[in-house]
Amino acid sequence: MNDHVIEASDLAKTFPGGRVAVHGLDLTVPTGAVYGLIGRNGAGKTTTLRMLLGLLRPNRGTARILGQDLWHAPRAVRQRVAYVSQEQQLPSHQCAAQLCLHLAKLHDRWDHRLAGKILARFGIPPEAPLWALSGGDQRKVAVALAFASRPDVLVLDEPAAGLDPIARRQLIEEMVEFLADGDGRTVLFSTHIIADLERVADQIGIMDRGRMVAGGSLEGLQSDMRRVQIIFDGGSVPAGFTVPGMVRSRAEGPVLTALVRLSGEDPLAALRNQPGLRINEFPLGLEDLFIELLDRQPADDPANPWWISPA
Amino acid sequence: MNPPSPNPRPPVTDASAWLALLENEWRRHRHALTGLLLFWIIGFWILLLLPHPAFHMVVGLLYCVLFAGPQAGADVMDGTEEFSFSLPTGRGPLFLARMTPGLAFILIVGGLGGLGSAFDLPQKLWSLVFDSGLTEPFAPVRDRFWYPLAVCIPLAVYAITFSLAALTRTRGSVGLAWLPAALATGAIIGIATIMENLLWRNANTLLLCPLLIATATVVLVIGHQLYLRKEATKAGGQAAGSSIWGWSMVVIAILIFVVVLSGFFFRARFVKEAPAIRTQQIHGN
Repeated sequence: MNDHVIEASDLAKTFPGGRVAVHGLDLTVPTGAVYGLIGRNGAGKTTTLRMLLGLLRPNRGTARILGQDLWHAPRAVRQRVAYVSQEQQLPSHQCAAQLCLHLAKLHDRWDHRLAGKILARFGIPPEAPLWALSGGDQRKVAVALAFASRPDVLVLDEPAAGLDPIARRQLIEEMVEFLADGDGRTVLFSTHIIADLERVADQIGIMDRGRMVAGGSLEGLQSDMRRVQIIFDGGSVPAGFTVPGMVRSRAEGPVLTALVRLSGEDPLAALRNQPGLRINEFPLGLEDLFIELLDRQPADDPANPWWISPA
Repeated sequence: MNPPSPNPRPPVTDASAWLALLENEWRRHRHALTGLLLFWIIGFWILLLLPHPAFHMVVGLLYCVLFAGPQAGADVMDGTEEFSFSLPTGRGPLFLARMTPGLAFILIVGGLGGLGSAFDLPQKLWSLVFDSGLTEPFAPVRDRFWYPLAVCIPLAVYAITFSLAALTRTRGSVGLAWLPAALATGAIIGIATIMENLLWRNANTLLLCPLLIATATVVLVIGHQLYLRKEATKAGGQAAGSSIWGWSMVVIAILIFVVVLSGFFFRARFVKEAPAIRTQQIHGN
């Protein structure tokens, strides 16, 4: 099998009316990874997932899961991918048990026992009609159905949205069990909840305005970026002062606070010996990193975003 | 990649998956289908109230107006398009599975009903059970064109309604898909009738029925092809839909309506004036 179970190249989607949702996105998810996609509202996460799953047609680029474009993929491939969408709606005239019976006839590897176990864990009565369940409970049913198909690739679009903290924890535990249960199972999920990402994801992609701003392993991302504080003895930051690898900066009096990308050699080495300034370095948590990368000022030029320029 | 399922079952084939979809569609629409089927059976086969083939046509059209749209556009109505399009079977088998119950209903009602009316089968069947004097045979309708029309007209309306409802993105358009379908079918009837009058001086359905069947087939094939390209409507955002589509439907409906009316006016003039012209010619000679 290909090392990358999910691949997107130069993916772009513009909706009617001219709204650009995804703009030249590249994404690769290795087999067996838990890949967390994070970004602000409207960053294009859901659209990306929907294009990968063959629910939307990209205007440009390719999207493949298990080496195939799911829009045209045969049933044998499609049944190996399960999806729970952000606003999952299930056929409300049925109950969870009926849906299980129906879906079992479409999936080779359907596991009734697993579906029953997850539903029981979530406290969902299998015979209750879906229209009688709350939105959160319907989402739990959708999660149970997705797991019960025993997919090789599980795609979850903000799976914890609308779930109470206990259900959220149960969902995370289910994900962990799902990953432990099979060799090479891959999970791609989008979320706003950074704690969930830190708990389960081993690869992270940060999206903004339809592009991938940063991506890689959680440890790699955190070790690559530093918040650096440079304090000048002279009373103010000299005009035109820059730090090698600086992504963005903010000057206040004699203090320059910068987000610096560390690549290869220590970019601060030259500064350390420079007289008249002191340097403090702070490691970044994922939430700090997310905020530092995406907390834009209104004056940022959307046509030429700062994050496109190489560090 | 995965360990084997703890519940070994026979492998799912494309055919068995399609049958599962069909079964699901039957479960979803069984009340509507059986209700209308019972109405037809009671009205025609049991109470012998309506032996005219037009009754079968009306039952077929009732199905189109009431159920064909919601059946084809079930996902748009329920907001389940993402769920349905994510199923392993994909869009094509889903379209066919949804189309089949309605198509079967129209063919059964129109076909069996037409045969029943033509050969007075309900009364003959009842007379096997008892002869009360009430089962005096009806004279079969002599206008033979009614029999094929009992199938062909609902078939065309169904095909257009189903395809439009399957492709649309708003609940309102699903519910009203029968309207442009009825108007388009009316236009075909009008045009074919005019052509038949021109060719044979008689509306004999020799052109109309093949035209209606061809239209239904072409529309379903095109509908299927377009459905394969349909993007999934997001669950929360489909209700409002595009107003352009709604207005386009209104404009198309008005245009078709005007064409139909023109056809009927033309036909009325032609039918009335033709004998008068012939009479003048005879007297002139």
